[in-house]
Amino acid sequence: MSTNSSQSGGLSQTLRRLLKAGALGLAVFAFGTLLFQSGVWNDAYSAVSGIPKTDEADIEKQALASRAEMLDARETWLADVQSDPPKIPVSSEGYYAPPAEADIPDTPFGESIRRGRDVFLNTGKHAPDYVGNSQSCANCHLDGGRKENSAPLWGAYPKYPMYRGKNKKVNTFQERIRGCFTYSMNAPDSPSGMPPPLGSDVYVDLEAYAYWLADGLPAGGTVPGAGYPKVAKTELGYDYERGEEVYQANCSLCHGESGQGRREADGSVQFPPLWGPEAYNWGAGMSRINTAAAFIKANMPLSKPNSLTDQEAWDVAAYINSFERPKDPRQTGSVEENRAKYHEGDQIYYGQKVRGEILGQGVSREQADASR
Amino acid sequence: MKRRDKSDNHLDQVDQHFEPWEPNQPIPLFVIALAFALAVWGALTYLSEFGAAHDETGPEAVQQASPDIPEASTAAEAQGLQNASPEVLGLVYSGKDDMWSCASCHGASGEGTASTPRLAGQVGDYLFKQLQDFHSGSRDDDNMAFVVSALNEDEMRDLADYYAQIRLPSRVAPTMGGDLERGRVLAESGDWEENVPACLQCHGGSGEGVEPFFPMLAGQHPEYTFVQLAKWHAGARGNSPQALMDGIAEAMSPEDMRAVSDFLATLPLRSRTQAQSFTGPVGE
Repeated sequence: MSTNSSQSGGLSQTLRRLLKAGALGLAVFAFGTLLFQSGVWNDAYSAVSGIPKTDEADIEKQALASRAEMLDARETWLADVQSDPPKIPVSSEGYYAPPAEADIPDTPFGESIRRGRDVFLNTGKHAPDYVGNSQSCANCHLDGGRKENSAPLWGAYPKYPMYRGKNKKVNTFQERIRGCFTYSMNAPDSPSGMPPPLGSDVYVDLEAYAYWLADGLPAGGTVPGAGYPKVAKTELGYDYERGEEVYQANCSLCHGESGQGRREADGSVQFPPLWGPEAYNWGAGMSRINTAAAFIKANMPLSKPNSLTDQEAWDVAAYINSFERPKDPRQTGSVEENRAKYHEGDQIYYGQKVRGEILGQGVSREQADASR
Repeated sequence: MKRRDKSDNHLDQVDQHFEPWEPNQPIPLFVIALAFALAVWGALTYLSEFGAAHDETGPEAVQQASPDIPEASTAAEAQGLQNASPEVLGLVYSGKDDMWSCASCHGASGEGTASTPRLAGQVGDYLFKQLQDFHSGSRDDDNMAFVVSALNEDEMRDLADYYAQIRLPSRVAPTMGGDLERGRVLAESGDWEENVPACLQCHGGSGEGVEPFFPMLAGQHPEYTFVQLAKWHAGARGNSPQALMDGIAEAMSPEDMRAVSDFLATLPLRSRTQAQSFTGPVGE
């Protein structure tokens, strides 16, 4: 080991060792990368730590894959009736997965879908003749009518035509949306004084948007995530006085201390008013405390669904619906008569005494302007 | 006797030629290999970060992509720089006693730079709340806490109002290497599977803020926007009302934060550019 020849041999040996180590190092790196990519590490980590695996893009990826599968199966089934019929595309959370915005086709049909989407997102701007307050469809149907448990369009569309207790007849989808305009958008106070007439482009475009969102669901029954999930009744019941505190702590940031929403500097509505002349009227489903509680619990405040307790949701829904709003368009006689006819048994303050006043007289834009 | 015998045996076993110094051992191959692997990992990580930040949307590319970014000095474009009392302008430009001035960091027109935020045209009530929060410590920043310690409530209000009324076009462009299309989707539609609402759903349809609580995002430096999102994500900024931004940022991946910071920097900042359209804080 101490002779000259073995020293130079040692140098080349060192080099050889380094090369060998380099190759081994690359192999170790490649192995580690593969291990990480394969997800084994993620599995092991979540198994040991008990923290559920997170893959940010997982839900979306799965939804897209699931939809692609359905489209494939459709083709196959058309060609061969013995093959498996297509399955409903779902997200990894298990809810129906509507198509992605980017999938709107570039056809006249696609243009109609886009127009319908625009009306849905900003109703006052894209259907100004028929909106008599500061509300948009998307205020109560979040994520442009896509979000589960936020009365998504895909949950509603496949169920029509449907019998409704509200008007005791079979309704088409257009008639259903006409109801939204009449009550939630308070069409009687709009420039035209009425909702869009049946057959109007407003309905056709909204229908196109809803139909497209629901493409993949069977027509008929109710699917998970449709409507708003009911909130269980609480022992205490609901109380608008308790609700005031909940409101100021959780809602007033966006909807304002007096429920009038917030506007941008240019006057456009940023957060919708919840009561008063610019809110939904006394005929809207949302003016019922149980409906409002269900919506609030599952969707409010934005980004924090289900953060309120059942009790808080009931109380704050009661608070919001304990103020005057535009009158029920169906009212012909007195509030009491109208209550008996349309609101009997409803969980609503309509026709009841709240803060010393019988609610339901209604408040209009004209009245609000006059009192200013 | 027995014991003795045993130790005698041991003595016999001692190697007379034993050399206490160990000869140099070659470093085990595996250790070198590990070092190599780590080096490769580090190099690749660095390169990918570097590439993401500079390859496609590096400063040069950005300049080319948006040639309308004004090169002129900000002070020439800004309106309302003198709309304040001499005392307030003194705070802005000269500071107070030993305290440095606002402009020394935020620029002569409140235009900011990189992770120092733009103040020009920001929602006044928002600015005022931030100054108070730096003072109370509910928003943690050593520099700002130090500066704000020299201000009283009236001065905070005056400074906030001063910066709110400055009109200055957007001077920013994407720098974070974010996916602008993903950023657009997040800003305009949100990612509801993750309970991330659209940015513009609260911060104004064009990202120009909503009085009194929701700050302007358009025109803000993407580095600053990103750093704030990252702070919320990590629980290092705690003054968002109802902890809303904490939850939203927590649900966002670093890529999403980059994407959205960059997209917001592409918004034109229209209404807050012209003095005419300004109607004053609507706080009432």
